[in-house]
Amino acid sequence: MEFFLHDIAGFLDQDQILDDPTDLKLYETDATSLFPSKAKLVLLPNTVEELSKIIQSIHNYNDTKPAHKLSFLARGAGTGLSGGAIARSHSVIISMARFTKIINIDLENEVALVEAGVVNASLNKILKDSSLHFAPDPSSQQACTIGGNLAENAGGVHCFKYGVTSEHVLGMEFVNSDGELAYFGALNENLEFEPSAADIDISSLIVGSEGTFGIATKILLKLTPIPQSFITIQAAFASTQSCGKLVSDIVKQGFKPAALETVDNNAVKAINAAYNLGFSDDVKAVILIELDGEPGELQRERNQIKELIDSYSPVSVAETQDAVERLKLWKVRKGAAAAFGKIAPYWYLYDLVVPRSKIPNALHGLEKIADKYKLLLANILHAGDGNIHPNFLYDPDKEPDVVDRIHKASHEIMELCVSLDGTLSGEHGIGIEKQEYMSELFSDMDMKKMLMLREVFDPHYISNPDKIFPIRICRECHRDYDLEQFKS
Amino acid sequence: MSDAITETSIEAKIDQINACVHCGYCLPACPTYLSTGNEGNSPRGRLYLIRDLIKGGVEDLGDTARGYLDNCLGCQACETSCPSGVEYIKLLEYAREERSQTHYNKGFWALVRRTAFQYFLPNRFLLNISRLGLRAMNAIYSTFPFLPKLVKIQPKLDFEYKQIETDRFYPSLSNLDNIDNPDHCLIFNLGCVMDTIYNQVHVDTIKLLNALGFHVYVPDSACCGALASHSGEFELGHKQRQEFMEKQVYNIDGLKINTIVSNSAGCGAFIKDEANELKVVDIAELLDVDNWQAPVSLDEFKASLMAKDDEAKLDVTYHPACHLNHAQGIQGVYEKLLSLVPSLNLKALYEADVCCGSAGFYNLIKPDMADDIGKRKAENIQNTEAKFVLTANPGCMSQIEAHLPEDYKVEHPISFLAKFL
Repeated sequence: MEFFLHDIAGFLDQDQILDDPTDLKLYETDATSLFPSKAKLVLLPNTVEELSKIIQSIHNYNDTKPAHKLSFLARGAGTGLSGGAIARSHSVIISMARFTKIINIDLENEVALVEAGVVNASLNKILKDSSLHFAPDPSSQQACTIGGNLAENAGGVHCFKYGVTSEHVLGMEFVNSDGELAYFGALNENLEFEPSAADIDISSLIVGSEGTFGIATKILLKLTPIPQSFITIQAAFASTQSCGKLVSDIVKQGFKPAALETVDNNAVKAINAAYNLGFSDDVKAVILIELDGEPGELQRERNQIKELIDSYSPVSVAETQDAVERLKLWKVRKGAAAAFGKIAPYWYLYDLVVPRSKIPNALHGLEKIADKYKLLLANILHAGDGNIHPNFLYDPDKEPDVVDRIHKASHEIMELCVSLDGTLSGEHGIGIEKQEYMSELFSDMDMKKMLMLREVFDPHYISNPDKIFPIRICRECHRDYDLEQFKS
Repeated sequence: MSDAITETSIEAKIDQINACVHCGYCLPACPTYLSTGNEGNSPRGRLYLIRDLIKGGVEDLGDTARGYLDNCLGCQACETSCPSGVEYIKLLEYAREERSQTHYNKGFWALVRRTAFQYFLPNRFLLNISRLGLRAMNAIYSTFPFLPKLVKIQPKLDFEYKQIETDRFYPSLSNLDNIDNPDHCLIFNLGCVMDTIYNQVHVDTIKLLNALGFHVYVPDSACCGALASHSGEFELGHKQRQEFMEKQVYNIDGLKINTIVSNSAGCGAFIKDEANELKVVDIAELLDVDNWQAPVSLDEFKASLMAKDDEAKLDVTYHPACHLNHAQGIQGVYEKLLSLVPSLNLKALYEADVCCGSAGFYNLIKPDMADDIGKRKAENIQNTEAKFVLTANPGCMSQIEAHLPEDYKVEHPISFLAKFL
């Protein structure tokens, strides 16, 4: 390490190199607390040139054939929930916290060029007085970075209509695992917007690769017109089944709400108690439907959806077109995190997707698993996408074996998800959290093909290694697998 | 040591620290994180360290951790952004005072601060002397600009000091019918820093309150102890606050005034905690267009804003002081009021809710960090293209002034509004 430290000290200042045990401890987790692991070092480059040089220094060090190769990973704000920004051993964290410039906003072409460390909500603050916005809105948007959104292909409550991050990234400046700069998609070397659809869409391959291909440093984003008007409808039901069927009906009948969210039993109780929202005890599920668009069309859509809601005998219905009232109706969904924090000091937020039609089966299965492992379960759902977030609320000080039970329950949730033709993640990524479950869904051959693709970008296997794929597959592929033979 | 800290049990502290679920929503609200990008300089990072003190039985956090705790300005923006309601400032005060033996209260500048808090700020005579001293220094610096500045942020002090008589009643001449109505009377203190370096704001405050129909009593008091407490001298600060509150008595001809009004966000936030039977309001709360509390109606006040309006539009931006915005939770009041002034073009300030780096005496303890944060604020202000900045705290006024070019003007919103009267 002395060799590496000496090398980087040539171009980084003291405050850009964090190697004190206190610092390494501070970077041992992201927003989840279940997989703490310390990095070798944390580095805070100011420029792309410094970032490239760091990667080159890692190569210089690895060329000395040390016992353990150094690798690297990028970290944004550390708001992820799958351990993507947590270092495995012998990794150097490259923090993107100083890449915070909004470089250009081109309202005419409806694009924005930002550095990877720009906070999602900051971009929309800057756009506030325009008629455009950046549509992906993960719950952590006040803190999460665009680079992190890109790595995890983040979603959000309005992505049912507007699509997840991959549909909003047009191009990027990218540092590969050799430390070389490349420009993909509609961004040219002069950092100009240059629409081009003739080549292979490499940008789209990188979105969602969780930093295993390299590091996106500047990102060209598509901006979307802000809808002219909106209607938010909140309906409470005495049965989760009714709520689930309503979701299916809304989608089946061809409606495309901007958001279609539900909150179920324990979650409603927790949030209701925390904010005194006034739901009666018999409420078992709440649905939030947000419609947006041209006012006339909106009203027609609203009337039809209202009829559908009424056909399921709701306990209560509220609706608004006022921005302040809208926030109050959303409280039952957006206030979930804080409400859970008041019930238990820790909560484990899971992320899975099932076909919409199977949401009721999934909820039933989740309840059974929670009962079996005596866990307090609260579900919130991006129901339109079939994306379920089961939350286990727990306190290891009171129940020392609870983390173990959560891990066991997690495994069963994954089995349930696969049995319902679902998939492992809707928006949080695989990271460390779910890498061992990948084998449940993909064959070894599938995963090796994905690893081949990865090798094109990171032939040295040093960019966020040992993530996404099961460790066994990672090691096998990297150390023992003869890629040439596989190709033939 | 604040009562809230000493009185809570270890179980209560465990509950407080457990409320942090490590989500990271506080990061972009924190000026030291924005300035350094370092997790240790974020509220989430500091709480992760404090967790070890409270739950891990760690006796000494070590120098690196102490440095991160010391770097905090105490702006409380993280509390506003926290979805779980973590009482960060209480946990930080606990860590600083009780267990970590931070550097915060040691060294030369700590001694200077303590001397200032203990002897100068509570004494009106010594405050006048220090104002003259600061003016003399100003004169020296303007004659010999190459001299190194002893105090990095030197207020301009280029105003004419207008002595405001204390222990005096200033009635509203337009509302004499209600002179014995306690709801129309307010206690207004001159305090320490505001009167010393921005005395005109006080003159304007009395003028504005009178114009709004409030009768004003100015007691013979000085510092309320906020600066000492916000700088980590909890015991001294709390003692000064008690002494200060004892002077808040007006009982002549049976008229008892029961509301104290403050125009300095930091003081208002601090004395609110010890209000006892007296009510404490920030002047912004009296000017809330959604909850108008002045004897003169909002329509009448609006008419005065219109009457003296000239045609040239003035670009203005507003920086909300942290002790108003975060500590007292008074948000959007000045913005709404200022938007009623037709000749004013209020420009949105990026990162408006982020501290300017003033934070009491922070710029003496952490000059480099305060400078970085001040420069960032100044850059955001310059990007608005407004050359007129409004902010409601003397610390913010002097910090922002010090980081902007000469042709920028920084003013308290009350002074700005008083010009229309």
